Amino acid sequence: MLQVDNLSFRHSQESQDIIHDISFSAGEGEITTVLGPNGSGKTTLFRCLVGLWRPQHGRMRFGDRELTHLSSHDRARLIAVVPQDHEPPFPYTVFDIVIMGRASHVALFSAPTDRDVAAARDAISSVGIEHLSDRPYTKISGGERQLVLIARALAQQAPILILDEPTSHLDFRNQVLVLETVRSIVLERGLTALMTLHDPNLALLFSDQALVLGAGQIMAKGKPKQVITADTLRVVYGIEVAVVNYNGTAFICPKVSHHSAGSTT
Amino acid sequence: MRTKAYTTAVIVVSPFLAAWLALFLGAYNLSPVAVLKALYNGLPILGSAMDSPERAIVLDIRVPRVFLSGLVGIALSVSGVALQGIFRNPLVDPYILGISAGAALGCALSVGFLPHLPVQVLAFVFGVFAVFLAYSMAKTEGEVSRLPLILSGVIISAFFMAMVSIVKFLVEPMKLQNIVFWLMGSFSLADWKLVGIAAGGMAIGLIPIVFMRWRLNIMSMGEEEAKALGINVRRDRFIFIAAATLIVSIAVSVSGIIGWVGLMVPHLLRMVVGPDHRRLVPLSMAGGATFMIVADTIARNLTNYDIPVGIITAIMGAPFFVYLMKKGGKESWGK
Repeated sequence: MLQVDNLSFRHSQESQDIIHDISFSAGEGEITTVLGPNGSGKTTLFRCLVGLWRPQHGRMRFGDRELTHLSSHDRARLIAVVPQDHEPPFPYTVFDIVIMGRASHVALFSAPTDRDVAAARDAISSVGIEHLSDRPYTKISGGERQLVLIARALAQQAPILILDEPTSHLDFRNQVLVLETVRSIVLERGLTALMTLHDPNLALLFSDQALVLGAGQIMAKGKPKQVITADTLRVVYGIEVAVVNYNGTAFICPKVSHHSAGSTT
Repeated sequence: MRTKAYTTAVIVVSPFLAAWLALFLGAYNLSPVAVLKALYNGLPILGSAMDSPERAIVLDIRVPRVFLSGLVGIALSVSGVALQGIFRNPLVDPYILGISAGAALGCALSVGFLPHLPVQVLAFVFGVFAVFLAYSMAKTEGEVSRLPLILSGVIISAFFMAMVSIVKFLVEPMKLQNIVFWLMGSFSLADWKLVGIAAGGMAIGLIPIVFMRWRLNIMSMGEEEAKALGINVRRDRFIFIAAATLIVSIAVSVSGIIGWVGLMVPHLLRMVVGPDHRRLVPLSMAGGATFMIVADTIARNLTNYDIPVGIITAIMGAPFFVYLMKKGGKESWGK
């Protein structure tokens, strides 16, 4: 169980908290999704959780381990991060990228051993990209890269998985593919997963718990269906939406004025 | 896979081949038989201890010179690889943090005002000093980031080069000539003592780079990502910069400023064997040694004069680089 209590962060020169008094817990084998508009503090929360910024107040615990003051080495043993897709300066192969996930298991003056290679191969096969292993990472599609970064996080063998907008650069099909992969891995390995998303529909489809952030604070948290409502979204995003129920699944549909949409040309 | 193994083997063998061939070429015309005889006589136990001009030319001039050029080639290309990795830029060269300008000032001061001190001493001290200044300047709130470091390197280089110009302006013409010649880079001073100094000092810097080379892969992904993967970025970057500074300062102090090698060799090898530093670092050592031995052999034999090898590397390097860029297209710029 990942337990976050009263987390607040502000930059050293500023007087106002970017995130204020954030508390929540995330369970094993579950996906917790953080939703919120740009500037709501999603990224700040993410950076505090992965240890890039140190929060001024609050604490984070995983079981009985305190996460707030860990070294990057110890943190990497507990938290694996899937960053947003980006292009590395050199065309490493997919395998080279995945095995980087073993950094916290390899001593300072060594190279990865057979055990690390095995862990990397295992991670590659759990996301189903064996065929890409020897391809340059720079030459594969955005969806494939996201899977590679997920495989790298799995190779890390950490119990917590944090994904930073894993669908942001992906087409429709790949968004679904990547999130389905994440969900099955989280279930299978009993990981505690946390991800930020932009699309409330994807959050409804793929998460067990949702946190809605607005102006640096949690506006709502709980079961996705109870949290992602027309009211919450109106308050947080400032737009009118309709919630459509179909076969027991809820869908969010923004209400748009008909002058600008729906016209066929 | 087979062609990859074949390429690797060729690269690994190349410095030995180049070194062997280089022994047979030189200003003093020796027959291959005479060279072999001199080499044989140089062997312990088997050889004879008799002195001869051939023996002196081969064992005391050509062999140490080949060794020294090989070592400097290794130093420049390995530090090029390491710095390109941590600065995440394939166009970074080993002089980026101001080592060359610092060493140039050390040399100029030494030649101009301290004629009794070997040039190498001040060149080394000022090379390290320049990087130390750049590193301290770039430090803000206890962190040393990539861009401030490169900028400080540029500033330090400009400042030290201005100081070099002042010294050049003040010294007498004979000394000026010495400074200029030294700055062009040459192995004409090579002897066993320099080989010993270079080998010993470089080993200290090469060991951490060789053993930690896999971490260059991770560090080249960016500071935040490396941290998230569990790397102590601040410590590891310091180790790489300190090690690279040590070996480049030694290289510069024994041979002057030789450009292009640290940029071109890693770049070329990355195109041939891929970017994985586990392979790239050792193969850059081999490739750097080969390149430098060949360049120096050309420098020694092209004319009746011993042309500064820095001129040869630039003349070979620039067009070759342009060719690679054109051939590789956008890819070769590291994308």
